Parts: sequence; C-alpha cells; structure tokens
Amino acid sequence: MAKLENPYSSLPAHSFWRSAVAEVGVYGLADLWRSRWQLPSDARFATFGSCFAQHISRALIGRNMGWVDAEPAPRRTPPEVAKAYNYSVFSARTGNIYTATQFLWQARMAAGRCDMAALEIWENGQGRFFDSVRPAIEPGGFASRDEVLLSRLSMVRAFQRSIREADVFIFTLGLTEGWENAKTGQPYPMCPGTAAGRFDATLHLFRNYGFAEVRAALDEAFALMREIHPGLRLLLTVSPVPLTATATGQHVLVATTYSKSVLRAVAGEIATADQTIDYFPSYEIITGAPTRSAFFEPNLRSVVQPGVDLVMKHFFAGLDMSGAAAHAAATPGAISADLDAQMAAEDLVCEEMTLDAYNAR
Amino acid sequence: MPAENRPDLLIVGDSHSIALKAGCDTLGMDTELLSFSGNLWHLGHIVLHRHHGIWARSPALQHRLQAVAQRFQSAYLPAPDVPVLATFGFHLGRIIPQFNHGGHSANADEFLAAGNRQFVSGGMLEAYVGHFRRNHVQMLKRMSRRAPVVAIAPPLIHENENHPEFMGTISKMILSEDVCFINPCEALFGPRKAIPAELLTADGGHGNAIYGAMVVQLLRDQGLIPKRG
Repeated sequence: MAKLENPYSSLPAHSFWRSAVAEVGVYGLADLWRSRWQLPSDARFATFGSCFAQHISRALIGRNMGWVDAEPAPRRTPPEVAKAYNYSVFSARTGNIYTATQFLWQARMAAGRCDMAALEIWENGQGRFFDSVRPAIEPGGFASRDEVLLSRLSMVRAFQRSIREADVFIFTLGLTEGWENAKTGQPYPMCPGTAAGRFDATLHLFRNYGFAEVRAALDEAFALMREIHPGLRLLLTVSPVPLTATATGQHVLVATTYSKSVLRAVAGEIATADQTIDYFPSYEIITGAPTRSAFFEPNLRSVVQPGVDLVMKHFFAGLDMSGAAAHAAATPGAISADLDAQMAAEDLVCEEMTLDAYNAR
Repeated sequence: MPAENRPDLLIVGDSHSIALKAGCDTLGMDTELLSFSGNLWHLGHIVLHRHHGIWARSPALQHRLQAVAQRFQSAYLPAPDVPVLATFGFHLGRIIPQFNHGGHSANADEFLAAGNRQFVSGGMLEAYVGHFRRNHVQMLKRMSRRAPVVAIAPPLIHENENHPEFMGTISKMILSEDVCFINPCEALFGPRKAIPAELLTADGGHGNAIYGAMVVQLLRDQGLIPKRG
C-alpha cells in the first residue's frame, strides 16, 4: 500500500522529535539555529540583558569577534578592578537589564526621551550614593549625587554608541517580574532594599508583566533604537537561568515557567513578524529535555561552562558572516605603539636628568 | 669621616628630586641625592628591603645606592635619624597617558565638555591608582618608621587631563598612611594651579632650581627640615 501524502511526509529530519532530539542526544543536536542575515565578515555585536548575556559577551571576546565595548575600562586597568567596577561585562555599564520595561527605559534615555537626571538616586545613610538604574555597578556606591549623574550620563552615551556601532544588537530577556515606582513608573533592576535603597510598600509596586506589556515595551524600545541606527539588527534570546525568588506568591518553579514562557513567546512572535529581528534558542539548549538539567550547577540555577560552550557553539555555527567587510580596519596596535613611543621619550628625558645630576658632581 | 661631616639630609626620588637638590645647594645645605628615573620607581625596581633598607634590583643601581650610604656612614638607607625628602610615589607620566588613552576623565567639567569622553568615578580612580602606587605609598610608610621622612608632591605641570585628580588621589593615599606630606606647588600657587612657566626646566616637565629653592624654603619655614646649613 502506498504511503499517504501529507504536509509531514516531506519534512526534514530536524522536524521530528525522534530523529532530531531523542536519538541524537544533546551533543547531536544540529541546525538549531541559522541566522537569517548575511553579516559582514567584520560584523560588530553589542550584548545586553540579564546575567546570561555576560556569557555571550565573554564568548565573543574570547573568539576575538567584533564585540562592541563602548565603555571600556581605562587602559592597563587590572582585571580584578575592571571586574569589580563592571567594565566589559556588557557593551556599556548598564548592569543587568532583566525586564523589557527596564530595557525600554534604557532605550528612552539613549534616545533622549527620558530625563535621566530625574531618575532616583539612593543614599545609604553613610554618605554613599547608589544609582537606582544600576545599584550594584560600583562597589560601595558613589561619593556624591553629582558623581552618580555623571556616571549615568557616561553609561547612556556608551549605550547610544553601542546601538550606533553594532551590526547586531543581542538582547537577552531575563524576567517578567520587577518593581516599579508607583508614582513615576520608573522600573528598578532589583527591589529597593535588596542591593541598595529602602523599600517603601506605599511607593514600590510589584509587577509581573504580561505578554502584551512585554511586547509593547520591546516594540517601543526597538523603534527608539532604530531612530539612532535605522539598519540595526536585533537578536533576542531568553535566559535559561531560573528566578532566584518570586514575589507572586506562587511556587517559584511555576513562576519561573510563566516568566520564561511569556518571554519566549514574545520573542518568537516579534522575530516571526520582523525580518530585522531574530531569535536564538539559548533557552532551549540549556533547559530542553535532552540535557536532563545536566547543564545546571547543583543549585539548579547557575549554568555550567559546558552548557555555555554548547550554546555558543550553536551560535557561531549558525552565524553567516560571509558578507564583505563593512568597517574601517581599526589600528589599536598603531595607536598603542604611538603612546608607548611618547612615554619612552618622556622617560628618556627623566633618565637623562637623573644621570646628569650625577655627572655634574 | 666624623659624624658631623655627614650630610644634613637625604633627597631620594625621581627626576623631580633634582630641583630639590639644587634648591638645597642654593640655600647652602649639605645634602645627598639618590635619584632614579620615574620608570624604575614605577616598575618597582627600587624597593625597601627589610634588612638592607632602600634596595635597587640591579647591581649598577645598587652600587650608586651604596656610595650614597657611605656618605652617611651607614650600611643602609635611610640612615637612622637622618631626615629624608622623598619625591617618589607619583610618577604621573607613567600612568596618566595610559589612563587618558581611551578618553577617560575623572573631572566633571572635562567630561561634560566632550561627548566622546567617559566619566570615571573617584572610587574607580582610587582603585586604578591604588593598583599602581600602593607599594610606593607603603614604602614611604615603612621608611617613615626608620627616619623622619617628608614626602613631597611633584609640581603640577598640567591643570587638566586628569593631572589634578591623580595628584589628589595619590596625595590622599599618602596622607591616609600618616606619612608627613606636603604639596609645595599647591601651597605656593593654590589648589589645582600649575607651576608657573618661568619655574620650569627647559623640557617643560620639571621644576627648576629656583622652584627647588622655593620649596626648600617652604619646608624650612614649616619646620619640616632642619635650618642648619
């Protein structure tokens, strides 16, 4: 008897769970993602979002890819200092951006649609000041309100540069749960009273953003970013890292599934509707059934390095960077050599002076 | 050599110590100079050894050091109880160009004046400077336990490009260790004011002998060095 023809009969192997997942196992997964864009061979990537986005930054840096570092630490900063002050974690020193609403406010600041000076600054009662936009950006906070504002402006300028200079802007969605100021609507990356600030139950409002709110926030944010860089491509990912805690009253496992499901659904819908936006499945690679949760640390939350490596392997395998180079070749080596020569000349003057002091005797 | 023929004080530091030596000479003081380039200090080639005092990590430099110690009739430097003027610990030429290279600014006005600059907080500046200069400040502190040491800031050459901020940060580090410290340029010309051009050497990077004499006179007036000589 001849097989019946139907829409499934001509589908490739990767369309079927048995052949694409169950039989090949986690390291046999193939064609999970293929970029929809042909990128220039020297494509530049900006990375922002929740903590999982840091892994993407590191992987791009590690491969010497064109990672946009719009707010680098001063030259020769020791790595431990750069890390403590959150340099080169994301393309600008935004700190973690967990929610779509937080991201929207960031885009508004970059596009000049939000008075960044009006956003809150928290004093800890010991003369130290914290930026409510990124409370943990500097260990111990800042020395003054003015310093917070200057540093915030520096970050916003760098965020703008990231948008302008990137070919692909990678944003990792983290959570749907967050806290807002009930009067101003300002979203907080962390609940006031945790890393910094004081919690005020009459002022601080818990929000668990739904599908429509997340979608609207991202749509507005992307529109603002395209005012700065009309040709910008956006690559969305969803962090596989579960919630540390939920304020919904639900079990945290249930709350996590809701949060990630909303984010995954919004990302999918946006990417389907817009050819300049794509979705990369880091969430699926880490949390999917083939891994049997093997890519989580014993706390079942942090992602282990082999998991990150596998995510990035699929990412790089799916990239198409076969286009012509689009950026002028940077010559940091030449600039550094210039600086070194200048410093060597100055040192020569000093050395000669010290020797001459002895010759004169 | 009789003890009374020992020099009145030791001047130790980088190329900025030369102006102090010239100033002391002008004022008729008997001093000894131990000067190494700022780069040697910056690289940590001159250290304070627990048993041997000031120690250079090169035989040639060590030879120079021992010759100075002999003048003080001492096996090591600083000789006990001999006053020391120390100009090491700053060496701004070795760190500020690196810091400025990427357009970083710790000064609010300079940051705001240019859209492509990055602001650096005081906390970050302290961490950055501390990495490069913590050992030098510790050396000053440890030397101060062996001899009366006055740490002397170099003259401010530039009023911008982070020079006052670096100068202020290192000064604060030295003061926080209870080392006797003076910023003569600030005392003579005011906060954040550069040394006048007529008091500079031809290279434009150091105070000249006249400036050195002004500094030494200031130290005398403040009772920071003996008036003998």
